[in-house]
Amino acid sequence: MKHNRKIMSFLAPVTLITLIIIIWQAACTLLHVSEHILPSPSAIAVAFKNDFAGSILPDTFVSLRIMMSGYLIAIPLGFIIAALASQSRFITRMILPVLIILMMIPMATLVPELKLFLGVKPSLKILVIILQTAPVIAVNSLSGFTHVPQNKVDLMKGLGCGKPETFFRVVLPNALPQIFTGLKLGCILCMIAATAADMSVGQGGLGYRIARSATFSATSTAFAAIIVAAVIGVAFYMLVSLVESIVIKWKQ
Amino acid sequence: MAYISLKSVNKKFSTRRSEIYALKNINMDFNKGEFVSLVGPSGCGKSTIIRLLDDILKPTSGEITVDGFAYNNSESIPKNMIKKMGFIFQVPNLYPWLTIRENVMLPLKVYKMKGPEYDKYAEELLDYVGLAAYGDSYPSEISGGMQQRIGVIRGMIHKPEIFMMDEPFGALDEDTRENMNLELLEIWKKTHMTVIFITHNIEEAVLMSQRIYVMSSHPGMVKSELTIDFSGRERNLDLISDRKFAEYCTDIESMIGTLRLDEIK
Repeated sequence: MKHNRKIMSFLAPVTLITLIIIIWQAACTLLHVSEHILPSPSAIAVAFKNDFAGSILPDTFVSLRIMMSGYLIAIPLGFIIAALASQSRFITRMILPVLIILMMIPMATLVPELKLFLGVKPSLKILVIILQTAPVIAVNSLSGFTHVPQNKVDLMKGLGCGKPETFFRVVLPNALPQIFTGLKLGCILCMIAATAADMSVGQGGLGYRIARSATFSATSTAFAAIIVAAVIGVAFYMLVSLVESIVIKWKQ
Repeated sequence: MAYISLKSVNKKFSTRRSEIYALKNINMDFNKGEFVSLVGPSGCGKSTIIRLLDDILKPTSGEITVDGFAYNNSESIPKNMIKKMGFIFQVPNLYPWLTIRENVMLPLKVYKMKGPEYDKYAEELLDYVGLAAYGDSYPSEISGGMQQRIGVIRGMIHKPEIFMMDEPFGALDEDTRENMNLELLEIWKKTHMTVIFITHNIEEAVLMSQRIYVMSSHPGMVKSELTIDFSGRERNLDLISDRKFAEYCTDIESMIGTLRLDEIK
């Protein structure tokens, strides 16, 4: 029964995606749509094969590197902000609106501004990713840290535990589900921010490849790069979900 | 001097609109090894009293002394003092991220009590409440009644001298409740713990206690203090048919009934 359900949860989306590809291919062929306007899946596959080694693969590496750098800095940063802010209700109230505003701003739109201060460097893109992902990680962790049922804290007090011990024994594990929500949202925003930063900063990356191919009407290459970005995003998300299921054993 | 004493203890809670006296001028004594129950209508502050003793809450004013140690309002109480106490909540209050065994052994971890003798004791207690097979399960995998039993043995795993219970069996069904009460009496006889038991079940209180404080609410005050004496007869379910047992129950019930009437007026 459990096995069947696993197969189902894999087959259901695959069926839909296959169906979309078939309809897409059929529509492009039957309606004679220009490859420069909307390339067919087969044209995208050909472009992928032709451009893989020359541009898509190197650009993928560039994107992966800046995404990982940004994300891995954003996690502890968001986490520390949340842990410190949760120590006082006043600081929580002060910092939460700012974090929410930061989370809502599409950071790539600030690239021209940031360029003025920092110049064009690869670190500029990493900064964009950090600014985009750290707030969402911080907001979710903070919400986890500040919503601990009173009884759970009372148990610690009743055992004579101080604030630090209570934090590590109760506040942190209690917040883990919400922390992972932040991490998962963070990896979505990370992909979006990385692509957008590539587009406005340049210097390689999948976003750069997409923008450049579109400029030269190499639409099928642009689509191939978009699909690679989507696959990376999904894989990234699944990886974080996997870590979540290992860490949060008690929710299964 | 009594083992545990509260002198002119007040506890105020501030809400947005007003200040509420949860406890007003509380004077209570508990002797070493005594089984004392606190009964009274809801809102009489009986839970607050044991929360003060276990340092979960701080009194607004007044003096609390436990085993010669005077609580200071501002300072936190040292762990080796708190270690003498076991606290059982009204709800199981288990940590969902810990297994049943880890939940039971949590106080040992906090007090850094390690060793095979403690592991063995944990297994004994798990076995005692019939849940030895569930040690590696998570709380979400067992029923509410089972969880509450785990909550009870967690409170006694570090062999406390003072055992405080906040209506621990209120959520259990009648049968389990009766069994747990009898088991508790057995444990008390064996360990000579000082027990402070909070309940709204008067029969339960009369059956188990040597003394009962009856409290009134708004503000929480001690209304009366009764010594329950069955002239040395053993405490078990046979007592329920005793005439004296019925008298005690009626006395307390009418006392609480009057309190409720007063409140309505």
